[in-house]
Amino acid sequence: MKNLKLKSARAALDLSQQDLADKVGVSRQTINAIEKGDYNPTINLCRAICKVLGKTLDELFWEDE
Amino acid sequence: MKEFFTKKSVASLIAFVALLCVFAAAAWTMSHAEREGTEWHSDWPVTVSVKDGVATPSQTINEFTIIKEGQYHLTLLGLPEGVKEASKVKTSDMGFVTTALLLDAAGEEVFGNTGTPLQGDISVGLKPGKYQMIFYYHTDKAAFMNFATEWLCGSRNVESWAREQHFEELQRNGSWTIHYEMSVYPDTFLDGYRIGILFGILIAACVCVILLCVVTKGNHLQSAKYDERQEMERGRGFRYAFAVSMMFIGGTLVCSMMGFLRPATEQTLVAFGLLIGITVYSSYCVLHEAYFPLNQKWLSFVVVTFFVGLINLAFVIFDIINGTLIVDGQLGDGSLNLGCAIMLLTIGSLSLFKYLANKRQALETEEEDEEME
Repeated sequence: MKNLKLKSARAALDLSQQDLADKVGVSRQTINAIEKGDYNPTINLCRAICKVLGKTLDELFWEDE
Repeated sequence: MKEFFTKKSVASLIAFVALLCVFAAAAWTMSHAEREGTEWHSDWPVTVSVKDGVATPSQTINEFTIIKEGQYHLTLLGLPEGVKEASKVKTSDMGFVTTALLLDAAGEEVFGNTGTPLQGDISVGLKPGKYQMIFYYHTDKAAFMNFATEWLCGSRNVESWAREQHFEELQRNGSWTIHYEMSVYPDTFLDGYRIGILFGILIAACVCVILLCVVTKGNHLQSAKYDERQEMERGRGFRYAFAVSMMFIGGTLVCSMMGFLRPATEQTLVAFGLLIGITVYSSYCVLHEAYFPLNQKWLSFVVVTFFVGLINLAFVIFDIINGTLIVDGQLGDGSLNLGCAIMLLTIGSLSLFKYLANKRQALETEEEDEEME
């Protein structure tokens, strides 16, 4: 399932996938895979992404009912 | 202290320690290898004159005695005066073709070799007794074929033996001095040396790992950095590659042993299995964007891969031209160059394809981001 919340949060801060990848220390393809729902990140990476985007885990990674 | 342990100094230290370990272990095992029995080393010159198709002397004999039965290593080299490499000698430089025959006390052939120049390096089982190394100097093709039929091989192969000697290119008259070098020594001596090298490498590897652990106290020297998804994909790629490699090696070896299919020697098949494994692993990683570490540029790798792949391809083309790619219905050793070329060009092409696809994808994502905003 696509992670549109992450995509929109990143776009809201005017960050490209590469910018976010550089900030959290992963490859652009990994960010792309998370956004497309092809890869489930570990809790450590989720926390790193949340810190950079200024969001909580719930806001970015919790699925709405 | 920290400044002393730079990447270069640690690498130099490790290389030095590794070399030291290899030499020390090789020297130790060589000195402890069983050398009782016989060692025979000799070098001598022989001047052969050819006049009207007759070589004088027509043969020379050297003798040595073996005291202890066992496996021996025999090296033989006969080069014309002033020549240092066998590859520099042409048949057209000489007036004769030499044949070396090693005969035991009963006059039975133990080893035979022929050529211009003469070069041999083999392992033979020798029993106690006197041995004669006889060098015959041939100037005539018909006489050589009779000799080869009797001594060197069955009549079926004599034609090809004779063809390889290029009798038609021989200089007919002249005088040539040949310098011979011959050594016979127990194989245990060589085994000791090999075991020493092997143990040396093992010890060196252990010492290097300990040194790295002590010096780095972590992962400071690791140059390749992968993220968690890449590590996961690399692990998955390894599993697929291992399975494919084992299936290929197992399948072809079983077929080869049962005689169904024998496309190459078993060693070549195993090497092919490993190349296939590497290709599967690399291709999987490239396709899942897990091949290149975060801190490595793609393009330089692609260029080097294509370059080395093309060099291997050039070797394959030479083999095809010389007719050595397939020998007696089996793939020759040169076929490994073909395997390497396919592997490197596949990895290079996939990397290039992924590089371009990623560039396009990054642009598309940026456009999507702009639309979202």
